[in-house]
Amino acid sequence: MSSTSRARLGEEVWKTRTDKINAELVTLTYGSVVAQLCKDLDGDYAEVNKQLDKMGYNIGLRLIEDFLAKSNMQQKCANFRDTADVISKVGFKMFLNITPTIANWSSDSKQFSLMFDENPLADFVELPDDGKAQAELWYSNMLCGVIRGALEMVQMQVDAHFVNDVLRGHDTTEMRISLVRYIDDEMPADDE
Amino acid sequence: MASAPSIPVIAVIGKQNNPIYIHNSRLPLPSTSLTTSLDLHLLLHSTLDVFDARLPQKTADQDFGLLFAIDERLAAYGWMTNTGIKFVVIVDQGFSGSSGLSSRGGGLGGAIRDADLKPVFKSIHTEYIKLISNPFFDHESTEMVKSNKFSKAIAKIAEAGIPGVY
Repeated sequence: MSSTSRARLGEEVWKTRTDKINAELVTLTYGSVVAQLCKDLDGDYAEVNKQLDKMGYNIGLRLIEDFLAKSNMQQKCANFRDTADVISKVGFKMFLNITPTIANWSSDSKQFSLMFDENPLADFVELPDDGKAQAELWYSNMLCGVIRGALEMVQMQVDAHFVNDVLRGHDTTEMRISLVRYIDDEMPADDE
Repeated sequence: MASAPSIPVIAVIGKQNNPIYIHNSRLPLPSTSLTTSLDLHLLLHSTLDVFDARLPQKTADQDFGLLFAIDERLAAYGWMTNTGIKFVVIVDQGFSGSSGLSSRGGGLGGAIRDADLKPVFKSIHTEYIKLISNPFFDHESTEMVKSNKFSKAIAKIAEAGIPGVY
C-alpha cells in the first residue's frame, strides 16, 4: 500500500467510521488529568510523565484493536518505515485528525521522529511557571504510552518519548520513536 | 487636529471585584486626568460602581457601553460577562482640541459609538476564555494573572485599537 493511499485511507476512516467528539472536551479533560496528576504528585514531574505514559500504554493496548477493525488493514507492514507511515497517516488521522510529519530517520531505519505541527491536547495550555515544569514535564506524554502499547500488541517493542515540545518554548513538538525489537510469538515456557 | 483613538488601558476585573489583569501601555498620561498610576486604580474602582448601578436594568446583553467620560480625551467603556467578569477599556480619543469632534457626530465620547467597542470586547473575551481554559490556571487564586500568552494577546488587542474608527 502506497503512502498516498494510506493518507486516503486515514481520511476515509476519519470521515465515515469515526465517532466525533468536541475538541474542547478532549482538551479540557486531558488538561484536568495532567493538572490533577501534577497536584496529587506534588509537582514530581518525572513521576507525572511516568503515570501519563502508563495511562497511555493501557489505552494503546485497547486502541490498537479498534484501529485494526476500523482501518481494515489487510496486510502487515513490511518494515518499520511502513509502520511509521501508518501511525502518522492512518492512526493519528483517525483518532485525533492530525497527521504528524515523519522526519529524522536514523541510518539503520530503526528510529524516527514524529513532528506535531498541531497538538489538540495542548491547546490553551501554558505550563506552570514554577521553574521546574518547563524543564521536566512532558505535557502530552500520554501519546508516547499509546504508541508503545499499541505497537506492543502487534509484536513491536518500541521506545517512545518526547524530545521537544512547543510548550517548553522549543520551535517544534517532536516525539522520538525507536524500535527495540520485534517480539516473536513466544510460546508459554512449559508448553508441551 | 485629531489623531486616531487608541486604547491605552484594558482591565479585567473578577467576580469579587478583584483585579485579574491590568494592561497599561502608556499611563500615566500627561495632560489628562490620569497622571499617576494611583489615579488609574481609583478610576477602575469607580467603574465598578457604574457596573453595580446599571446591573439591575440590564438584560442578557453584556455590553455596558460608555461607563463615563473621564475628561476631554479619555473615556471608560465596560463589558460584563454573565459570570460576573468585567472588562474595562479606557479609550483615548486623542483630541488635541475641540475640532476633534469628528463628522461621526455627538459630543463628548461621541466620536466613538458604543457599538464600535464591541469587537474589542469580544476579542478580550475570547482571550480570557483561552486563559481560563489552561488546565494549570488556578481559579481560586486571588493574585493577578501572570501569563505571557495572555499579556501578549491583550497587548495586541490594545495596539490594534478600535477597528473601523480612525
